[in-house]
Amino acid sequence: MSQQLNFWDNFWVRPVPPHALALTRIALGLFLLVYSALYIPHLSMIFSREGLVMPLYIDRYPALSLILSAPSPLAAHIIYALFMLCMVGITLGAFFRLSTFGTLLGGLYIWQLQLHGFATSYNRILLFCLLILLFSGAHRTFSFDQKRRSGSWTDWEPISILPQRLIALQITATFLGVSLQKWWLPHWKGGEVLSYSYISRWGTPLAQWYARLPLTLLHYGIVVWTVKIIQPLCAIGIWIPRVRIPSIIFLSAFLILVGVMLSIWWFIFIIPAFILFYKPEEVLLRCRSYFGDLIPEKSVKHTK
Amino acid sequence: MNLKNSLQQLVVIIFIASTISGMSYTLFRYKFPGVPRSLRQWSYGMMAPYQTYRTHNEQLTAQGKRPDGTWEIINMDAYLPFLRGERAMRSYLLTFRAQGDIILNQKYTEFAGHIKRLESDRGREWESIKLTIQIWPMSPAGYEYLRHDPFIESEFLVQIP
Repeated sequence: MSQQLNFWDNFWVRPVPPHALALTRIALGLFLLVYSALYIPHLSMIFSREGLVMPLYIDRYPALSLILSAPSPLAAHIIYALFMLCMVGITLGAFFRLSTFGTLLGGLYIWQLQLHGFATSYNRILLFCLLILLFSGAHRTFSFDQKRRSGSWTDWEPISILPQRLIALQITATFLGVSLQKWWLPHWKGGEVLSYSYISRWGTPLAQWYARLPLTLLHYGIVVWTVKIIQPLCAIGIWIPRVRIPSIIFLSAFLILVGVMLSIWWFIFIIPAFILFYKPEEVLLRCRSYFGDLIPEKSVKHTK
Repeated sequence: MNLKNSLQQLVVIIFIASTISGMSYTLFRYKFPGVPRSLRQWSYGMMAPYQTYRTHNEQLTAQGKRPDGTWEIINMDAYLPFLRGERAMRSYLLTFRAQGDIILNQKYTEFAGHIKRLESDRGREWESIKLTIQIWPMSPAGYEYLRHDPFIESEFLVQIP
């Protein structure tokens, strides 16, 4: 019993170096900055009352109209600037909890303002990751906060492995769910779903070109079945050191192809998080092998 | 066991319960007993794949009525500055659609009002604005290749005034 408890605690809550989570934090922050920057030219149109904005909750909670209604264009720009500043905070690990909370709050506010209801899987996974990061200690190294605490960006303090486990397991569950469900969904029996998707509104010019190649439905069927078979195997394989790299390559290629062929590119934010499937201790060793003594071997005791 | 550890164990249990419940619903449409619906749906939402596809194209279209009674398609590119697929998904107003036909109709009417105002701001006055869903066959030759008569069908949504 005691051994089982040890295994449970060792898997879920043992203290570990924060480097894997910190690298994920930086990558996520950069992704969010790029994603948000794409909307900058259209802020007045999609987030202000002078544009095409239909707030979701204002009819339900008219008493909160001051908060829930669309702002003026100037206010929309100021709010968005603060929102992006919070993403900079996530990337740099500066005032990390405040920055993450601000990003969460800003994201929800902006989401409820506009023609919401899009990309719910993406929105949910992103919200889940931000919520986990909020309490994760992902700023315990490679961060402005750590520099303030101990004097160096690369000093580190141990954190619980729990946030890392939760995000990694959610990624596994997502890949397992999306792939295994295709085994019984009626539209995923053959290659039609892929061939029609390539010439649909989601199809990119590259996908349209591909669809014009003299390929039979059998070809598309083979691609669909390859995904249905290999994707769930990779979702499990990514936990097994021997097949982790091929699994990461396959899953990354899948996400990139979904972006390149079907213009659903935002799921690529998951790719850097594959580092969370490695042991945090191994990631620390790898960081030290790249950067040497710049990365301390031992954690610091913060003084403030 | 201290408070922090207890909270962590609680998070683990909630996560496991919601993920198992979400997974069983995703794979077997089985609702695991004892897990709140919101948790299950949240977890399911993170596993929902590209479940279906269409064999035709469709797009929300706004038309403006001129004083001479003719209708002209309004270019909404500036009002919906998204990639084509994302634009289509947003213009379904899914969150309002989930609230029923009456709300959806109200919101499309509101949408048409916004288009009228935005057009007016740009010096284009229309007597009426009509929203329809245009439907046309897909073609490997291009997204809009068959978006013309006799292939187009229109599904009426709303008209103001």
